[in-house]
Order: sequence, then structure tokens, then C-alpha cells
Amino acid sequence: MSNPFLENRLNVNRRYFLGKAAVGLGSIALGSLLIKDLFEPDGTVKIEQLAHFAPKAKRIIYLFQNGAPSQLESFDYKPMLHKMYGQDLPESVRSGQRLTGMTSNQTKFPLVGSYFKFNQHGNTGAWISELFPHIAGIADDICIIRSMHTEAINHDPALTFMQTGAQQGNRPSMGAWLSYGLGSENQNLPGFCVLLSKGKGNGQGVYSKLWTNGFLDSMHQGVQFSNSEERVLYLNDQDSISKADRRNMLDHLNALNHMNYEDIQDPEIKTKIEQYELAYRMQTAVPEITDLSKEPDSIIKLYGPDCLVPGTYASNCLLARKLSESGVRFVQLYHQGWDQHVNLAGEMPGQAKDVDRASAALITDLKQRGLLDETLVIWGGEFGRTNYCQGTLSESVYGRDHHPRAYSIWMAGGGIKPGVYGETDDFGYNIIKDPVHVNDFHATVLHLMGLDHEKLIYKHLGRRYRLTDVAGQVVKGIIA
Amino acid sequence: MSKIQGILSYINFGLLVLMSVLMLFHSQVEIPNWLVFAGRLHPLFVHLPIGIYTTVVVLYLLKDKFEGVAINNILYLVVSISTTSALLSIIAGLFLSHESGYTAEDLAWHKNTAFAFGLTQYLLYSIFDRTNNFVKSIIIISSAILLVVSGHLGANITHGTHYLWPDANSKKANLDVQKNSLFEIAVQPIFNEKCTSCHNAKKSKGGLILTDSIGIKKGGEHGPILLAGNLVESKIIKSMLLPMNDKQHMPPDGKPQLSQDEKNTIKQWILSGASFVKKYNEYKDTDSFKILATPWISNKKIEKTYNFKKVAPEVLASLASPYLSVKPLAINSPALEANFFVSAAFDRENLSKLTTIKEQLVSLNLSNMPLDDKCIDVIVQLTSLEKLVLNGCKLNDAQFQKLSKLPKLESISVANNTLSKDIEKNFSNLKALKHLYLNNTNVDFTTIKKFESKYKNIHFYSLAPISALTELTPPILENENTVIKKGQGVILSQFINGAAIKYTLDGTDPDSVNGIIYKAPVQLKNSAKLKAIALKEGWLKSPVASYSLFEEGHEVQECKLLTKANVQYMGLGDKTFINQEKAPVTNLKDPNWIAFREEPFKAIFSINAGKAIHKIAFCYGVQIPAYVFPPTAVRIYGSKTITDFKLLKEVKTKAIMQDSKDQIYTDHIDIELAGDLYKYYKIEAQNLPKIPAWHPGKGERGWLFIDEIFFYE
Repeated sequence: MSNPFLENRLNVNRRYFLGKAAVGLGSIALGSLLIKDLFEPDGTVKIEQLAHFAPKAKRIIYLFQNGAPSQLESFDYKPMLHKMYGQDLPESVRSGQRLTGMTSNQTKFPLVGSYFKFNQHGNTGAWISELFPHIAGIADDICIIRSMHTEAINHDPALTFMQTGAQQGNRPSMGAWLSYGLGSENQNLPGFCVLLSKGKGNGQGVYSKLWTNGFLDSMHQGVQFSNSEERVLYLNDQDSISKADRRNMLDHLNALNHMNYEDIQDPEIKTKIEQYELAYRMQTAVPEITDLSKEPDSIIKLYGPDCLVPGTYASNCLLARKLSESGVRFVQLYHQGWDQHVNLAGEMPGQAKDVDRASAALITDLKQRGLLDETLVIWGGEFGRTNYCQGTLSESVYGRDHHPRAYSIWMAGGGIKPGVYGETDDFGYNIIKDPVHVNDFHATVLHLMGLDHEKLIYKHLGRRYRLTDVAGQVVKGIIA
Repeated sequence: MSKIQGILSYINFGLLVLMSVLMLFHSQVEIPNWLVFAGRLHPLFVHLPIGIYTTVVVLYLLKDKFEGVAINNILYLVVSISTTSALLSIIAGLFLSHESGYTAEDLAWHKNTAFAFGLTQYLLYSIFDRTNNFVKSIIIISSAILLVVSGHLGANITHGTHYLWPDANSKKANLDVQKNSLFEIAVQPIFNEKCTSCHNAKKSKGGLILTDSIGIKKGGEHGPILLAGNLVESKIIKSMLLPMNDKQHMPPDGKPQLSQDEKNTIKQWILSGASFVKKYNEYKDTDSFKILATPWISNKKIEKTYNFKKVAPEVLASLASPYLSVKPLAINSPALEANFFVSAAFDRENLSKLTTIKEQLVSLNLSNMPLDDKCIDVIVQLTSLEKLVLNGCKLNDAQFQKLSKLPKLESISVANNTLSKDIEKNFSNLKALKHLYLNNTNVDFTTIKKFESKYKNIHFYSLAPISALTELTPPILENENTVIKKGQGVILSQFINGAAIKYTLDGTDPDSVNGIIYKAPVQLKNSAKLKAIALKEGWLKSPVASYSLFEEGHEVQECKLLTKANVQYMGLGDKTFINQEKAPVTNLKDPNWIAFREEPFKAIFSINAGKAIHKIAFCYGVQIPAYVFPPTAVRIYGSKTITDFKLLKEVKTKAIMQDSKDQIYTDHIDIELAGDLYKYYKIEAQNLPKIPAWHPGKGERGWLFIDEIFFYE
């Protein structure tokens, strides 16, 4: 018998090399046949395959508090800051955290506690400040997350990060992702609606890039409702045009657009056709939804009579309930004016008064209709505020700068376990338990809606994108 | 022999590459249906590498006992086959891992260790003939360790974590939440573990048998051991809580004791009625026993499963309408939910079509749809319904009564309807009912509260009426501008249905006594300060809304400025004063403002002949922080020709004090004239020449902002 070892070595010749290379390449080819979108062009993911869990929530209402409300005057109670009033923030706590241009030339970082009193509320004994008496009243329905943290330190990137999962504004917003992933429930309304309101405080801008569809099909873009009496601009026909005329016009326009599509094959033309049809159906659906005059007195009193004044936060909350009740997948509110750099104790009560009653009313209203189980409500800003004072300091006049390392938000409804999650240190500066990164937050929200954040993917410019990009873990601790 | 080795080397290399591709691109791989079969073979294949690799290890350890080189050839062949079988079973496993039903963490480690085993196997195979024994030994040992770990993790996935070392909790796994009562799931296991060794059919100490519900109900020789809802009268609780050294303490000293959780579970079970038959779903979510028992049930089993057939996609497509969506409850669930949208487009036909899927339809939402009796008759046919949302459907008692025939209803939302408390007799018949939302109906809060305490199994969410009086919002001005067109009148409105508006024109605050009730548009004479409030019974009156209003002035033919306005605020030039438009004080950049600083304001206005002017209203804005002050004096001159002006009137204003309450506002000066017929009027207004000392801009010139000058007959 010959020596197989020797033979084996002698086998390594050109024929052997080429043979092996062929087998290797063949195997790679075989394996790649199983990679579903390898040879498909951008943006052709099959949506039916995305939902991976039984959804806990069907719809989302996101009450975005634009400008970053202070966690230290709302949901994160830190008595230590009173004890150490006026003392410098120890360097060991700050440990190199970068500062904004607004406080970077301050020589001292004097600690300051909340001017407003805190009390414990609900079965979980959650600490909530006196600025939010109505939210305190629904403490048993909400889960306060005190351990949110983000990477951005200025409003625009932080807002964009919260909304799109990236600090640069070219990615689709959360609402667009959900509209893409789950489609619209009600074909007579946009799947993603945006409502704006503004408090008296220092207003940070909101831009339409926050509700953009990014690289997704433009039918997933958020539709901004106006604060004028005509809530969706240019929706109504001119007086001289009848419904039949409009239909006739659209039919012909569609025919032209179809011809154009046959020529150019630009998918945006198809979107345009669909958008015209949606707008046509919205002509019937929107007046029904935006007519708040039929709401009973008890509901008006619940939200506060401001809810009938167009453009107020309360009115947007009531409208959000009506939109959500009518199957709008994602209703995004922005309430501006939370950026209290200088006169926090003076301005925050007004801001809180704007939103407290209506936010709580929304939860109560959904609950009394049996809809809270299937609606996820989120309340919160883009980052927190510093535990030290910006500007002049006294116990009643102080300001707080931006703080990305810890902030508080709350969620309620579909799939949320009420309670308090996460913890910050005695200074309220660093998270010591259960941190929730913005990516984790997104992963959790998608999870509650029945989507696996690792599988909700869109291929664009040869790269696969996710709302959570390459990170994010579902926060199991807040899920019921 | 070498030919076999040659073929094997190709096969193994190919499999290695395939395995690596599948592993590296795991998240992007999708398994077609015809390959699912290959994945399912994984549990069969895995036993091959385990057996063959064990042979490798044994032969390797014993190789010195054999004579000649044959052993090396045999060993090499066995390693080759072992590698092939390992790679094959790993590839099959990678196929299988795409199926659902595995927890991600368990699977991840099994997958990773198996992949590592595959790599070490191939490494061993490829260098088997060209390395020394030391390296070979290390690879063989690490490969063996990886095989053991990976195999164990795999077994955990297949057989469950507690397969090797069964623990006490494992008993719960065999019980089904749908079939077994919560007692059997959460309480009986405690007895089985801690009590039945002495209290069973063969050895019944004290005449007590705790192995089944019959024995527990019967009790021991001293009578029953428990009384539903009463802890004090339940002997079992007493003996459980007695101190350890008491003779009657159970379980007796020396035997395994009950944990605090177990004690609480038994206590809450008795408090909640000591039911032996009630199932998990029949308890209210707030029931303490249910809450304590929940950890005994793995999450998967709480989720309802439906056994009915899936509806064919064509049938679903035939139901499609923009005003009706029919969808599965979750992906791959056969159960369906239907939602109706846009009440103006509601069509009963769409509802009737749902009867074709009545077996699968478990959830129906008809919120705000105009339902009539015929619609209700259709809904009653949908007998699988578990959740029904009929908020705001103008539902009456008779209709509700019909709905109560739906046997499986678990949740009904009927908020905003005209139901009365008589529906009690109807909903109390619904055996499966767990949620009933009745707010904003004629059933009042106290009645709902009563229902709540009477029907423990039904969850009502009662919305307490808001007792505190709420303040109305102030009336609003409907006119587009504060300059009211002739004959139009001032139009007021308010937001709350049924609230009245009261107003005054004399500067006093309107209240319940003072003021005029608004019925029709208010006609203005020249200018006026209108104050208005909204009133409604059961509400607090609104804050006062106040508006400075101007009737449209007499048309001015021409205006000619004699002095120069500040270059930054030129407004619309000469027209600014006479275009019948006011400007908002919050925006000084508005083109209806024109401002003077370096020079005072001087201009000539020419009026249509033959009209006598009795009043001129000079309108200006004030923003004290922005150095914008009222004029110190306004002078009116009149003339019939363009020269020869005669001073008609001069009005001086009071100086602004430091403690002035208003800092930003608009105001006007009314200048009454005798009514002589003049063609030309010259108006001069002096801006503040020196800002007072209390102001940050002391000594500088103040700004004068003018938006309009009205001429009235």
C-alpha cells in the first residue's frame, strides 16, 4: 500500500488547486442562493416577512417634548442636589463629559436641586414633581424610564437621533419605518401624521426632516397637520369644483401619470398616483376626524377647554386620539418650548401646565374607550438637563444646560408594564442601573409593534439600513 | 484509498465554505420551503459526529497499541468522515435555526460553539498529516470540549433546560393554561411537593388527603380545612402560620417548609374564592392570586391559540375596501380582525360580507359608524367575536340586548352611546365577558362603580366625572383684522357648544351682571375697546378677551411724508398710514409698521372734498424693552389749500414710568375735531427725544412705530 500522506502532498498540483477553488466557489455560490436579496436591487424587501412577534400595540402616539424638559424637575427626584446646593459638581462624577458651548466657559458648576416639590404616586410609589399633578394621577398606567441616554448634546442632532436613529438627517423617521413595516390601517388617512404646538418657553425648531421618509418610498413621509381651521392644507376642493369633477380630473391625471411611468419607470410616479388617490379619500375622512365639536362636555373637561382651540397641545392630543382611533399607525406630536437654559423655575410651570392635563387626559380617554391596550403612548424629549446651574444661581432662579447622559421619559399602553425603570446616581448625572440607549428604545418600540428591529431592513445605495442601524437591544424590563 | 481521500477532501472543503457562508450571512439567509426538510434532519445528523468523533478520540489515545502505519491511515479516514458528518449536521442545523420557536440566547451559543467545533474539526483534518502530536492533541482536546458544550446546549434546546436535572418547577410544564384550572397549575403542585408525602390516599394522616380536589374539599377528621374567602376560618392557613414549635404547625418540624411565596399563593387562592375549576383567563387581571400565579405559567401559554382554518387570500381580497380593513391578528394567525373607517362612507353591505369569515373573525371595530337594527342583526351572526368596539355608534338598550347573544365576547367597548343601566341583565349573561367600557353613556359613574363591586370577573373602567369647575376659553374675534369693514360688524365666537358670549364697549369688564349678550355682529362707531367673556352653566366664566377695534376709516386720497422714516422700518411707505391695516405689536418687522427715530413724524393727508372729519385715531405700538415709546405729542393742522395750515389740536401723552405694567402693547390717541371742511390735514408726532434715566437706553432717542391713522366723519 502506498503512503497516503505522501500521495496527499503530491496531489497539491495545479489541477488540485483549481479543483478545490472550483468547489469553494461553487459552495459560496450555493450558499449565496439562500441570501434573499443579494441579487435584488435596492429597496425590495418583502414586508410580509417582517413581523415576527404577535404585536402588543397596533398604533403609537408620540408626545414629543421638544427642547428637552428637565428630568430633575419632573420624574427623577434627587434630594442630594438640595443638600449640596451651590457646591461644585465633583469632577469624578462628570468625568470628562463634554459640555455645550453655552457652559464650557463657566468656571464653576454649582449643583442645584428642584425648586418644585416631589411626591410619591401610585402603587409603585413613583416620584413625580408637583408640576405634573395630572400625570401623577395616572402614575399606575405609565412606566417611567429614568435611564434614557443619548449620544448627542445639541438639540438638532439629538432630536434627529431620537426620531430617525441617526444624528445626521437623512434617514427615515420612526413613523416612516413603521408605516413601511406595517402599512396603513386606514387607507383614507396617512399612516403617519404630525401635529405641532408651541409653548411660551424658548422654542427650538422642528423641521420636516424629523418626519421624513428618508430613502423609503415617499408615501411613508409624515403628513403635517396645520393649526389653522383647515387642518390639512389644500385638501378641500375649490367652491366651483364638484366631487365628480374632481374624480374625473384625477382619472385623467392618473392615466397621464401611468403613461409617464411606462416611459420612465420612476417609482416616485407611482407614489404620486397613490398620494392623489389618498388625498381624494382624505377629502371625506379628514373633516370627520378634525371636527371636534361633537365631543361631549365630559371629554372637553377632561382635556381642558383649550382642546378646542386649534394649535394648542391639548387640541393636538384630542386630535391625536381621534386619528389613532381611526387607525393612523403613528401620530407624532411636537410641543416646543422646553429649553430652559436660564429661567427654568420661572418658565417650566407654564410649559408643564400646557401639557400635563392633556397628556394625562389622552391616557384616560384611550383607557375609557378600551383602546389603551392597543395604543402605545410615549412622552419625552431628546435629552436631559444638567444637575448644575447655567447662568445666575439662586434657589428660585437658575437654568440648566443640555445633558445627554441621563434623562427621563415615560410610556404607557400597549405592552408596557407600568412602574419605574432604571436609576441614576444621587447626583442624577450618571445612570447606575438599567441604561436605555436611544437604539434600545427604538428596538423596544418596534418589538412592541411586532417587528424585529434586526429584520426591519431597507437596502439603499448597496447597504442595508435599520432604524437601530447596528445596535439596539429590546428592553424586556418594561414589557408586560 | 487515496481516491476516496481525494473525493472527501473536495467534499469537506466545499462543506466548510458553505457552512461559513451560511454562518456569516445568517441574518440575511432565507430558507426556501423545499430545504426546510434538510433542516429538520439536524437532530438525526448530530448523533453521527458525536459517535464518530468519540471513535477518533479513542483511536488516537490507543494508537500506540497498534502496530504498523495502518492505524494512522485508519485514523485519518475516521477523522475525514467525522469532519464530513460534523459539517453536514452543522449546515442542517443552520437551516433549522431559521425556524421560529427558539429563544435567541440559547440558540446563539449552541450555534457559535458548533461553528467553532466545525472549524476545529476541519483544521484537524487538514493538518492531520503534517504536524506533530502535541499540536494534534491540543486540537483534538479543544474540539472534544467544544463538542460536549455544543451538544449539551443543543440538548437543552430540544429537551428543555431541566431535562438532565429535573427541578420542582418542571411539573408545571405539563399543565395547559387553556385546559387546567389555575388551582391545578399553581396550588396543587405546592401540596404535591410539601404535603402529600403524608396526606395521600395510602397514608392519610389526620384523615386528610391533599392529592386531589375531592380530598381537599372533604377535609380531615376535624372537618373541612378551608373556607373560601376566609383566612381565619381556614385551618390550613392556621396550621401553616403557627410557630414552628407548635404541635399543629404544618408541615411538621424537620420536613421541608413552605416558602413565603407558597404561603402567599395559598392565602390568595382562598381569598379569591378557593375555586378548583376556574381557569387562568377567568380571573381578573387585578386578582392577587392571578398575579402570584402568573410566574407559574410560561408566557407562551397565555397567548391564545386558534385552531380554525386560515381564510383563503382570495376571500380576504374580496372583502377589501378602503373603508374596511380585514387583517390577521398577527402574522400567521388564522384569527382575523376587522376595522371600519369613515362613517360618511359606511355601507352595510361591507358589514354583511363579513359573515363569510364569521368563523375566523374574533375582533370587530365599528367605532363611530352609524349602525341601524339591520347592522346589529349582522353582527349577531358573527359568533366567533371576542372583542367588539362600538364606541359612538348611537347604540340603544334593545340593540345591546341582541349583542349579548354573542357567546364568546370577552371585551365590549360601548362608550359614547345612549345605553341605560338596564343593560345589566344582558351583560350579566355573557359568561366570557372580561371587559366592559361604559363611559359617557346614560349609565352614571356611581352605577358603574356598583357594577364593578358586583361583577368581580368583569373589568369596568369607570371614568370619574370631573367635579372641579373648569374655566371656559375666552371668545375669539372672527373678523380677519381688527379693522372692521363698513357694515360688517364685529363677529365673535367661542369654542364650547352652548356657551353664551357677553361683551362691553365701554372699557368695563363684562360679567354675569354687566355687559350685553352677543346675538348678532356688533356694529362699531369709529373705534372701541371691546371686552368679551364666555359663560355657561356648570363652567367657570372665561377670562376677559379684549380687542382694540377700528371701524374702517374715511378714504384718504393721498399721504405725503414730510420727514424721513428710519431706513430699517420703511413699511409700505406713504401707504402704510392709510391702507386700513393694523400690524401686530409682537412683530416690528411687519410691513404695516413704519418707524421714526432720527426725525419726528410729519405728513400731509388729502381727503375727498365735502366730508367733514370729526375724529382722527392715531395708532402706534409700544415695546419698551426695544426702545419703542408712545409719541410725546401729536399735533393736527388743517387747511383748504396745501399751504397755510392752521393748528387744530395738540394732544400730549403722559410720560412712561419705570413701573409701568404693560411693556408691549398697541394703543391709539383719539383726537376729536370740530368738523370743519378741510381738504388737507397735516399731522405731526414727536418721538421721545430722550429716553428716561431708568431705562437701559437712557439719553438715547426713542423709536416711534405707527401702523395706521384713521379719519372718521
